[in-house]
Formats: sequence, structure tokens, C-alpha cells
Amino acid sequence: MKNKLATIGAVVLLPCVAATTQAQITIPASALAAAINYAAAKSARALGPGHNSAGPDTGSVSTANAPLLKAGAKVGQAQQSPVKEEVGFQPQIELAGSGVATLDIGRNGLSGGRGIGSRSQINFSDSSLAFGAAQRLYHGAIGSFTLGGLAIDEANSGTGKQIFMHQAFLDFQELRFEGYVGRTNTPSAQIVMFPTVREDDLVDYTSVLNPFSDGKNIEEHRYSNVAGLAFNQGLHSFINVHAQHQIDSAGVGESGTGLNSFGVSYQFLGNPALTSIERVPSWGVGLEHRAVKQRAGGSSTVVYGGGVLNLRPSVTNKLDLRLLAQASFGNDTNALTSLNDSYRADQQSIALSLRNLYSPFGRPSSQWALTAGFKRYSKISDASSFGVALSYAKSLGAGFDFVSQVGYERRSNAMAGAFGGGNDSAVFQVGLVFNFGSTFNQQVGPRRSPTNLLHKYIPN
Amino acid sequence: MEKDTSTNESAIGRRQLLKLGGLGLGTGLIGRALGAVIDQQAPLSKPDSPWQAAFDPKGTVPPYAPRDKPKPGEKIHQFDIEVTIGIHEILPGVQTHMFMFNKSYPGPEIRVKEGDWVQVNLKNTSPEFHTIHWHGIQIAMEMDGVPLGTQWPVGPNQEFRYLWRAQPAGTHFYHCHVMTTLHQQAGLIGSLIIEPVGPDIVQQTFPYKREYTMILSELDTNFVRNMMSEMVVMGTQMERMNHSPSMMREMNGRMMGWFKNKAEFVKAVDKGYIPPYLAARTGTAMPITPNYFMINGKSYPMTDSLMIRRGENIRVRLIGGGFMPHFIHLHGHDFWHVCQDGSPLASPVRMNTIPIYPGTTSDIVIQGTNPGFWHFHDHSDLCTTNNGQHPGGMMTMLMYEDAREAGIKWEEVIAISS
Repeated sequence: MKNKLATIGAVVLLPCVAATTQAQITIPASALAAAINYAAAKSARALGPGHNSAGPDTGSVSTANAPLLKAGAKVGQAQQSPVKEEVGFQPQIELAGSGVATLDIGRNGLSGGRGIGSRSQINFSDSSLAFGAAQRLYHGAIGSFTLGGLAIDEANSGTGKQIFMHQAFLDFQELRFEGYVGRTNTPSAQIVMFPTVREDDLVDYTSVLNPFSDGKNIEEHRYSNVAGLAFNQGLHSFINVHAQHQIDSAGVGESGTGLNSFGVSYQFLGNPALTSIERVPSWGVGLEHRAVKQRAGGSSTVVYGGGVLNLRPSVTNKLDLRLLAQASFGNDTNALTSLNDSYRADQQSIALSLRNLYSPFGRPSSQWALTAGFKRYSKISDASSFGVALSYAKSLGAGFDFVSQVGYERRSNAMAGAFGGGNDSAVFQVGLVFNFGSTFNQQVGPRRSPTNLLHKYIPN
Repeated sequence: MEKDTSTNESAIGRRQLLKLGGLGLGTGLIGRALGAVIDQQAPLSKPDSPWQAAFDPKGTVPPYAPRDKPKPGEKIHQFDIEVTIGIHEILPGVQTHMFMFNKSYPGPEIRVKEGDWVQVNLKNTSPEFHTIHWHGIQIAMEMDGVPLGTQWPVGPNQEFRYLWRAQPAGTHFYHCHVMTTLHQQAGLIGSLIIEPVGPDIVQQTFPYKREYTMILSELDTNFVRNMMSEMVVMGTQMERMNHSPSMMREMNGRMMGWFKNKAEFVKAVDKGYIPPYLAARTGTAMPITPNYFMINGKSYPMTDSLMIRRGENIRVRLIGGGFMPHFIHLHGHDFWHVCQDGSPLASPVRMNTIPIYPGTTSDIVIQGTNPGFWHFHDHSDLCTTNNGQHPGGMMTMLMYEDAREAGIKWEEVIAISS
């Protein structure tokens, strides 16, 4: 009897519920709970696809590594939605950015062609701003859209190409699966992040290089047009299968924006609460096949792997070692006459970084890092280089750091020609970095939060 | 949370009562106040005993010395309470991570007699710190559950044993007192009912067989999600650091924001400690904005109804378990406000809307005087929504089980409403 009557009570009111549901379609919902505090801002500093929030570099003080929005949805539609449902929904909005400005004084700039020709410069490259929107979808999924741009190198700053669109992608994710398509981080660039002032300061060693790039824009190594699928096991193990158009500024691949690269990667991410304590908080391996035209030496395959090792686990004064090793093979290039040659010729390289992060009372305060890399080309005699950067960052406030770095790179004679400069280059940098993020109309939390990891992710 | 006050040994249990009522044979079986009122609406009989409560200037003196210890032979009730993090469903499709007492939100009701000894074995298997505060209980200070005030907080995989004597009688509750903004909101609350040893003045005046406990609370799902993650990060780190002697040395009060006294705190700030409330660490503080409003952890329409019959008295224990005031209104009836914070009022107060403030408890008696199906809800309209959509939230129904016998044609009501 009781149960029956209870049902009656619900039935009496259900018409009202139904009416409200209909109203949701056309009437914007009242403002939802606002984002709370810096915690929300921190969650906005998610990584690109396949990572979802707290990644291997959590806790870093310096890093001008542009925080990338992980989220998106559609507001102010430019065109009608394929499913013609009136849009009155207020998605979560995220803004994230990174201001990086340094005074560079040096000789011949650093690697990858950055700053070649200048003895000094005011460098604001890698400064970025990204916008994202995200909303919950039916059946617990989350959809998002991210759009962002960053400032590029001095070499292009006078040509009207100051801004490079590094993010423009849509993402769909649910418990085990994530799919994304658009311009974003090239998947091979996500395994390890190095604590140089700018992520690409020693890009010849710390990234898998784009064999299609002509070298004028260093961002072409880190960002590409990607269609990716990422599967996860327990939000700890991620397998990413993807196809890419890596920007072909050298014209050595598929014409236009056709697919020219295919790969698979695996990444392990530990508990984000324990990145300073677990001995190996993250590691990954990957393989990428690049369809370089035969006239440019033929296709190239690269295998790479790396990770982070906490040499001295500590939440107050930790010492970690980062490693990325890679080897490419299959391309027949046997001379280095241009930067593009140096990106696609068969080579082996290794990058290592020793970092000390001092966090008295658990809050990052300062950081020292010594990053070094070595590279050699297997089919070209006397072709090798090494680079080293000593970096320092001091936190002046939440996300706002003073940074300084001295870098040096030495190239063999065979390489020097490709770089159009001398055998060595050096630069001293001093400046400021500001990483920030803010979330509005919050409704989507970070996927890899510690609580979600406890129960393998639920949308809440 | 309904309780049938009839004991297992009583001649007529609730299940039997309903059955008999349905057969029209319930006359005289539902308490002394029922009288002969089943078949037609009739005024309630006058209470057998007048309200006995009176002002007593010594009334706040604990009946038993709070610092007493159990004497040999005295019975001690033992309860095991474990704190975990679980997934709680407020409504179909709305799940959130919550802290839980014994994997339940709210936690299990503790019900003992006044003067009984109670031992609660708290086990913390969550990656956070917790205590239990016994709200309204006159207790020895060391058992009061205030972290860093009367005890060290209970860390991950640690246990703590509370021992206290149940007093004073009445409706109370218990909750975690660690960072209550988060922990109480995120689920660590339960009702604590202490029954009087002697006659219950409410029972004497308004004989009842059924009673309900309603814990009123709110939830800001975004706040809980974000802050719980922050706290779990810290707790997880500290639990792991406990396994390493070198890392244990890294832990200190400043990391946790713990200081011996004000002077130590001021000294630390002078030396560069940056308190978490400063704009340099927090930015602009955003207010907590609850989007779900719950009765016993559920929002309408998933709240449990209150069941009543004509002529019956039911006792409802309302507990302000959240951080907002609520104004609970019953349609079609007046009711009696009989107890506040556990103690009987000097005289029952007739009302139809009662404010329930955070941390307070109010007992009311509803009398079955107007058969039908009646809304019983917070009259603060924000709180009758689910994520901004009405109806929802802190709302339930008072349902007459014998409405049909009273001539309520509810099938027609449904047809019209549909």
C-alpha cells in the first residue's frame, strides 16, 4: 500500500517535470554553480588529447609550456548544428593562457632555427591564449571544442605570421574512449615535457621532429592536424592511435593537407597526487610512420620512448630525471643541406634533464634544471650535435615566475651547413612567465582527478 | 528515514497495522489518539497527559557527569563506523563522489537510551583526515571530535575510539568536524537519537507509532568535486609519506596550515608563509553555490514520502544538516513544534512552516486530520530545484494511506493532472 501511494505522488507531479524538461530545450538554464577557486583554474590547465589533466609535469614552477584547454563545445554557432536542436545550453567556458617574455642575448640563437641571425632579441614566442567550451552530453559523455593561438619565433615576426593556430579541435570522451580531430599537439610530443623555459628550446632533442617542416616555424614540430582515438585502462594506461597531417612547409609529403603520418603510442600516467612521490610517475613509447616522398629520401619511421624518474621523491625538495630517446630509419637522405634535411634524415637522439624542484611546505618555490641532448645521423658522416640548457625559475606568485636560462649548442661541420650558421650557438635569457587559467559556468571536472581515479571516472 | 516505534515484541507491528488498516479493522490499534475515527474524519481525541515541560534554570546541567567513565558491569553499546569515499546517487543520472559513513549517505542512525554508554570505533579508510563530532551531546572534551582542538584528526588507515555517555535525550546528529565546509556537505553526517529513560513527553501527549527523521542538506557538486580532489591529493600524499621515514620528516605544520597558537601563525607569516586565504593563492573567492537540495541524501522526486493515516500522530525529527536555513512547510495542516535541539519546548507551538537553521534540530508532530496527498517542502524556493530546475530538491509528500476510504478519488486526480 505504501509503495503504491508513493508512486501516486510521483505520478501526480510528473507532468510538471515533463514540462520543465521541454523548457530546457529552449530556455537557457539559470546560471549554474560558479567555478570555485584556484582549484578550478588549476583544472583548466589540462593537457591535450589523451592526457586529461594532471600530466607528468604537475608541480613544475617554470614551464612556458602553453596550457592547453581540454574542453570545448559550441557557442555562438557559425552554422546550424547537423542535428537541428535549438541551442540554449550554457557550456562550461575555459580560458587559459601563457605569457612568456624574455630578453635573449646570445650568439646565433638556439636550436631548430630559432633566432638565427640575431645577437639579441626581445622574445615573446610561445605566448599563447586558448579558449575552450565543454558540456556534458547524453549518456555521461563529454564534448568539447578548443581554439587557441600562440606567438611564433622572431624569424617570422615581421612577415605577418606572428600568430600560429596551435589548437582548433573537437573532442568526444567517455569512460574508456576518447576521439578528437583538428589541430592540436602532435601525439608524439606528449610523452615527456622538458623543463626548459620554452618547451622547444632544445627541440632537436626533446621532440620527435616533423620531417615535412622547412624549419622556419618551430611550432610545426609540436602541433599538427590530428585525428586520434585514445583508449584507456583504468585512466592510467592510454593507447593512442592516430593519423596526422604534419605541416608540410617543405613540400616533401602528400600535397595540400592530406594525411602524411600515422602512428600509435602508449602512455602510462600514475596517480596525479603522487607525481612527486612515485618513482616513475609517467612513461610512454610510440611509433610514427611518415610518408616522405621518394625524391626526399622516402618514408621515415621513428620509434621513441621516455619517461620521468624521481631520483629523490619528495613533496618539498624533489629531484627528477626526464628522458626521451628516439631513432628514425628508412629515409635515404645522406647529406644535410637544409633544415628539412636534418629533420628527416635517419638519426638517433637522446635528451635528458635533471630537475630540482624546491617546494617548502608543499608549494613550488624554485626550480633548477639541467637539460642536455645529443643527436647523430646514421647515414651522414660527421653529422652530430649536442645542446645543453641550464634553467632557473623562481615563483613570484601562483603561476607567475621569474625565469632565466643559459643555453649552448654545438654542431658538427656537416650540420652547421644545414643550420646556415657556425658550429656553435649560445644564448642567455631572462624574463617572466605567467601561466593562467579560469573556468566559468563549471560543470565538467578533470577526468583524471584523484577521486575519479578511485572509481575509474564517473561524470559528476 | 522512517522508524516504527513499536518494538518487535509489540502485538501489532507496522506491517500488520497497514494490513489491518486496509481491511478497515484498524480502529483502536493506532495509538490512543486514534479513537474511533477511521471511517470518517473526526477530531483527534484530547491528549491523555498534559504537556509537562517547564522552565528549569538548572535544566542545562548534564544528568550525568560528562567526565565519568564506565563502571564495571555497565553496558556499553558498540558501533563500528568506517569512512570511505563512494559514489552517491542523488537522483537518477546524478552521481557524485561523497565521503560516507559505512558506505551510506547519510550515515547510519545511532539510537540509544539516555545514560547509555556508547563506544564508536571510527576507522578511516579514505585518503583524507576525519573525526566525528557528537553534535548536541554533553560529553567529555576529549571525545568532542574537533580536529587539532580536542584530538588529532584521524588519518588514512588510522582508527579512533570514541566513548561517551548518551545525554541529553532528544534529536541530535553527528558529523565529521574536519573542514566541515567540505566534509559535512560531502556526506559525513548521520542522525543520533537519544531516547529518554523515563516517559517521553511527546509520546505521552501525542501518542505515535511511527516517526521519521529528515536530515536536510545541500550540495554544490562543483565545490565538492574540486575541493575533495584537492584534499584527496593532500591526504594521498601524506599517507604515502607515512611509509618513508625521510618523507615523514618533510611533513610539518606549515604544510598543513597547522600552528600551535596565534603567535606561531603570525611568526610564520612574518617569515614568508603564505596563508591559503590570501588573494595571491586563492584569487577572488567564489561563493559556494549549492545546486542540489536533499532530504536524507535524496532530492525530489526520489525523496521518501511520509505516511500517515487519519487520526494518527507521526513524529518528524528535522535536522539542519547543511549550511543553509530551510523553511519547511506542510500543506493542508498545522503541526506541533514540540522539541528544539533535542529538548522539549516549554509548550508545543502550533505552526505550518518551521525554520530549520544549520546545526539545529526540531521535532514536530503531524496529526492525521486532513486526508489526501500533501506537499511537505522547503518554502525557500531555490531549494525546491534540481540543478536549477523545478520541481525538485527539498520536497516530499505527506501521504494518507487511507485516502481512498476517506473518499479521495486519486485516480481522477492523476487523470486531470496528466
